[in-house]
Amino acid sequence: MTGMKQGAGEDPFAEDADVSDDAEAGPTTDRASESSSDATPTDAEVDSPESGQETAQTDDATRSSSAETTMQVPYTLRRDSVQDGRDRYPLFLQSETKRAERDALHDLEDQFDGNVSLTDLREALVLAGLDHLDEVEAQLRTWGYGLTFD
Amino acid sequence: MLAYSTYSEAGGVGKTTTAANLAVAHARAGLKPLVVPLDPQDGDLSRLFGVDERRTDSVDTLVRHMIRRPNGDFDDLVRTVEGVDIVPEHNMLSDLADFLQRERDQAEAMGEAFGMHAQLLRVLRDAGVPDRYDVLICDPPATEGPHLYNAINATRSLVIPLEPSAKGRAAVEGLEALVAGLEAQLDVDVGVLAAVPIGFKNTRDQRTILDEIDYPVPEVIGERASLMEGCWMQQCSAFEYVRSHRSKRRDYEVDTLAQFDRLARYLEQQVGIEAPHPPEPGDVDQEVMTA
Repeated sequence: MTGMKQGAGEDPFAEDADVSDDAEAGPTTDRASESSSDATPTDAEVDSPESGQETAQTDDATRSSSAETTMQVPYTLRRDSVQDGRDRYPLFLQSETKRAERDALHDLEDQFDGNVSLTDLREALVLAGLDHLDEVEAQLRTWGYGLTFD
Repeated sequence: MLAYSTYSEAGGVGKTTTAANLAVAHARAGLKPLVVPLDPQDGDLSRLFGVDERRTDSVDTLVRHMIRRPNGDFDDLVRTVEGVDIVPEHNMLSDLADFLQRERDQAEAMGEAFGMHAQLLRVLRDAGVPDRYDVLICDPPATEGPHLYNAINATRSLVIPLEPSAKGRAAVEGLEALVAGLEAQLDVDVGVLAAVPIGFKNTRDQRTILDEIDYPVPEVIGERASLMEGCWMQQCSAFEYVRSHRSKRRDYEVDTLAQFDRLARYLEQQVGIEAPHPPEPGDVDQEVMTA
């Protein structure tokens, strides 16, 4: 662990603090680090499939052996952060649902040795639900869809 | 002035409730805190304090101030709850990156400079915040981006709530790299005032992880899911929740409140601030002091 010192940082409002606008460019482009809590190895600077440099990053190549055969690098390795290639849609959950999701996350983390990103889990849940629309329909009915009052 | 951002890379750790309860703990002791939450999503600090009802309205917002297009005074943005001044979140925060980028492009076309990550600092300074407040707390979202960069730049100190787990450890390590990058980019010096483990169940693994934390750990907070969920339900701090919404005091919850009080005193001491009316830690009935 390096980089951050213990205790207070400098005073942001000190007289001579340099608020001038030359400090720029921002780490957004060169992405200083893996930001999200997911398990994506930060060194997964896997070349995009089209660049075809299979020799690069042997570490990752071995990790995803399928990449060599199919030329399709898995999403978790291909992306720079967990949000890459995704749009943001806020989610509203009942607290029981939230708890069930958290439990599922913990179960899956056991399966995958530790880290599963919540963002990945959520999209996977949606995809799985889309494959089982009959069960989704049943859930909607328990919430009162389809009720008729004669 | 004491200034810090509560930050954690993992979501759901208790970042926002930590910010909210520390703010109230500072206010209880007679200090004047300003909280600037920056989460573009619903379910954020503004929601916790019940000041989120205008987040979709066409009103003046912090974002407008950050891109130099204010529709009013900074002070008119501020709402006060439980002795805490809050700049409520607004849905415009979702597009903060775009707004800042556009403003920057415009400025560059005019031969001016526009620091995308120095705008919150500029707004707060122009509003005289350092002279008028004792404590500034920013609550950025748990993702990299202009919200986080602006918050860190405006506070330079961090309080890190973390889950005492392997995941929490990974999050702190990721944060190290991120802050190091930011320090280099912005040429600022960032410090960690405290790490705050939350949800501690005293397992052996958790104790091991606590031992590995390189930062000061003034308090270790236990699992308080019911208390925190109650706060969200009633839209108030844990202090107010225990005072007004619990029919019976529960010792372990009062202990948690005492921890927030002590943590607030610890943070104040780090920058040499002495609160005028510090309550006995956990004295639920001490009203919020309004200076």
